[in-house]
Amino acid sequence: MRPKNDAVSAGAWVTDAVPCFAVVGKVNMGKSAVLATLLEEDDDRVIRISPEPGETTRCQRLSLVLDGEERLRFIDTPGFQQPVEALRAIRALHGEAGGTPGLDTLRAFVTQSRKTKRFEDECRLLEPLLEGAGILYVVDPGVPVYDSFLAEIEILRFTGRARLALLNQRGADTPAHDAAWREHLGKAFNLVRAFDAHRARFAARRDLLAALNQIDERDRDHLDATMDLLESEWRQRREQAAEHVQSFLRAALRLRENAHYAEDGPAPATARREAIQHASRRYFARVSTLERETADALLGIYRHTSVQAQAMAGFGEDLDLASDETWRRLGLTRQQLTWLGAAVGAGAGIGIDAATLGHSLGIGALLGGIGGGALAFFKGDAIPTLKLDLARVGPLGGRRVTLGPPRNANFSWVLLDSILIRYRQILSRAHARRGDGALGGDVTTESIARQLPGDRQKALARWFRAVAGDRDDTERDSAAWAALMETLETIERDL
Amino acid sequence: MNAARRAGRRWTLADLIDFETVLARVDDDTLAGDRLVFARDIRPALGRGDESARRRDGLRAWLDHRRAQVRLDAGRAWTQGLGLLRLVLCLVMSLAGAGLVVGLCAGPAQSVHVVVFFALTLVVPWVFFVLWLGVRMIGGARRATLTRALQTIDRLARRVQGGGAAATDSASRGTPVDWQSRLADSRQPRRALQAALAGSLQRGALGFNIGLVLAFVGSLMIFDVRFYWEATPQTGSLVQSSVTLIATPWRAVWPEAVPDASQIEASRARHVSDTRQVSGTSASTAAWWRFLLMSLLVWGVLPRLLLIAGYALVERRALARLDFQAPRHRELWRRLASVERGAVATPVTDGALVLDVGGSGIRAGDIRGFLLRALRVNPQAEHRIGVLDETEEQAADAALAADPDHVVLLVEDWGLSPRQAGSLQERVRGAVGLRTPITWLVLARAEGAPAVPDADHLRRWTAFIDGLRDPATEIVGYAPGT
Repeated sequence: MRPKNDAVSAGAWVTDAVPCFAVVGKVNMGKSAVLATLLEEDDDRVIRISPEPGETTRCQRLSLVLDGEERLRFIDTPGFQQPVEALRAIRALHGEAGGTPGLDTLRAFVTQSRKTKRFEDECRLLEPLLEGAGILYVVDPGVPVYDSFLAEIEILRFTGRARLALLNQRGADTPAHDAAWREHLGKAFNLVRAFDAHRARFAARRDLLAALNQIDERDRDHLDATMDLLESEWRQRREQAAEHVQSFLRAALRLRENAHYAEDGPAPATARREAIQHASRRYFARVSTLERETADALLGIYRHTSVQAQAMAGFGEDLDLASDETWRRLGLTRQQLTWLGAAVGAGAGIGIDAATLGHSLGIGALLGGIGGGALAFFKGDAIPTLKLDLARVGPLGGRRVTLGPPRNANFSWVLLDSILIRYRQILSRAHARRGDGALGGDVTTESIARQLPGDRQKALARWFRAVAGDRDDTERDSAAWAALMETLETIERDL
Repeated sequence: MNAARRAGRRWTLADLIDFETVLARVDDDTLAGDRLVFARDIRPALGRGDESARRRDGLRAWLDHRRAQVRLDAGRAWTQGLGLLRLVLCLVMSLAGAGLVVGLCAGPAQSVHVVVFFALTLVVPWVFFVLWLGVRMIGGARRATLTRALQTIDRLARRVQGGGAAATDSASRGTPVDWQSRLADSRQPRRALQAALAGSLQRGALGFNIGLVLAFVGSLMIFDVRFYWEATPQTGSLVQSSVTLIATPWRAVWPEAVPDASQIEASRARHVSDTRQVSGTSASTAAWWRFLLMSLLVWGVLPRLLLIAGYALVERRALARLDFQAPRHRELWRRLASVERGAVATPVTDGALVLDVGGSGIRAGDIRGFLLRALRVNPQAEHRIGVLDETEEQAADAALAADPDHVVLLVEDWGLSPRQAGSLQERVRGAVGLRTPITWLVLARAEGAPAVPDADHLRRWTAFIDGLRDPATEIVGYAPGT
């Protein structure tokens, strides 16, 4: 029977079926944060994280469950509170027997301490180790190697279990005491790794899990299979993300908003203007909503379940398409738009040349290129005006205003950019982060679309054109999707 | 069946057709079962690394698994139809070729104009081929055209198989699937199908050339065929240079099959008194038939064989590059191969609602460490209660009605007012029920921060709470060092 988090019976922490690792260390070293990031768990009710020392007051079993099967088990422990005193007590128990205290001495220490109600936290953290769990020792390399840490290292060494030390460094700079820590840990641990729980991306998390393979070879096959599953899961997320981004773009590019007004009223011109303004406001609001919904879906895909796009700092403002700033900051440059328009236009013109068996002497491609380029050049830098259609409805003189996507060729790119920037921010957010979801200042909001290689821009431009023209083209859909997949992969790599 | 063993097998057109057919018909329940098979048998056999290859192999193995469950014959029927079409095309074209040669060789005076022979047997078919390529480039390769061609072959196959089979098939599997459009929509399947159809046309052309060769050899054996050429201007040198060029491939191997200048000149027809006179020699006749035979073999049969091989290669490469990235394929792959993450742990049920009684200003964050370490509860929500602000009172009542796991009432040590405290206890207990633990946390304030309560005050609070005789209510004095 699976033990509950808060009431675990002795002998329930470790099982032979799954590799088990106890995460130990001094209080407030970030053990829970490491686990939250490693297991992608941002629910504070499951893994509690705060600057308050000693948040973890009891051992907690945390599992990596894939496809209904527990693949890895971590035990979050309360952390050492009195390591120096505990070490003295263990040595005293061992007495003059010679050699190093071992598991028997530690067991005796736990039994005795329970009776005397001393070393409560040390006893709790030693329980899983005595049952056979491997050790993930978390330290902050920003603090000096005090004697209390040396005592912890010594106690852990007594267990004889496979040991991996984790330097939970905070920030990109090399911590002040990194070298000293590595020297001490190198003597007592099978492996030492650096890991920033508040910044670690997928690659860092994968590398850490892979490192578990190196400290205990007995579970190599199991861990390899787990790594494969994680890779598949990650790719699957990227695919889903690409589909959401594509669906958002499709929906936005095909969005139309209607408003009605009476043509035979007292002031038809005013009524018409108001109807257009009304539809225009609804149109831009709807695009913003679509974008926010997509961002929420992306957060869900990447297991950020406790935060919504709107609540995240840096996400708070909706996409404001009526703002000049949005069009300057996002999308392609005018030059890029012109070249792209020319390339796509020329591609369409080639079809005409082929249809005439070349008798048009390339004029189709030339005109298509010039037309596409000119349109992009003259329309690409303007604040968007929505496409307007007027239609008569009913016999009583009513009119319907239909507003469509802006004619500006940059519209699609602005939308793409905004959602790609959100994607980058979501990937940058570590699961250990709690609270309002403030993003780190290291995540830029510069345009991504402008950096895309030409072939990807062309594939996307062709698809935008097909979608805007309400044409369903499976092949262009697939090409655009592939371009989006590559782009998302690049964003992950460049983080 | 061990589906894993089949992982890695190559895709064929029949497989693709069956795949699209079964994909259109598979239901959610079936896929849920297949997901288990996939996880158990197929996934472990898939290689690591290249995701496209994994997907190709995985879906191929899934198709084999499906085939073991249901009868699928759409792909087999279509490929049989294509095979039949190829056979018919080959036979018809070989008869056409043979008829052409017999007509040329057994014509009047059994004299063959070598230029006409060459033009009709070799040049015209190649011109047709080039024209066909041009038409394909302009619009012949459109998806609609391809779809129609596929449907025609499918109908042919169904008709040949007989109405009975079709009726059984239709009854057992529902309405036919439009796999033709589905395949024509994706690049690699379309390329494979186009190559298969183009290869079929080349088989017809090969049949035509074989018919030419056989009929030519037969005519040489049956008839006394003479060869000549004629031209109004003096074009002897042009014929000679053309012959030299055409015979380049076999000149070194079989020089006798290359007519020389004297033989070419000897076979030139001349009109004397309105009568064509062919003054060919036996040497020139022998040289011409060898030349024409080799021309048919080298410029007719051999290129067609190469084209057939080329189209087969294109088909094979297209099938080897299938990416299965159409939305329906991605959806299927996700349903089969997605990795579902389970819960990391059961949420800890120690969340507590913290109520600041009377609005002392002490925030839950200020005493969070104490709550966690001493009371083993986590302040999840906090409100003020017993204050003038109705909105705050309503918010507190709403939080109490939300069934918290634990309620902590923050009170200042000096503030015990038995009637008010008793009333509050009743209000809270009434809202959360009899079993939810209530903790009265007594504290003092020192410069706005929480501090240890006065011992006398705490004693009075303890006596009061004990007097409530509520087994799920306790009282605790704040102790920051805990």
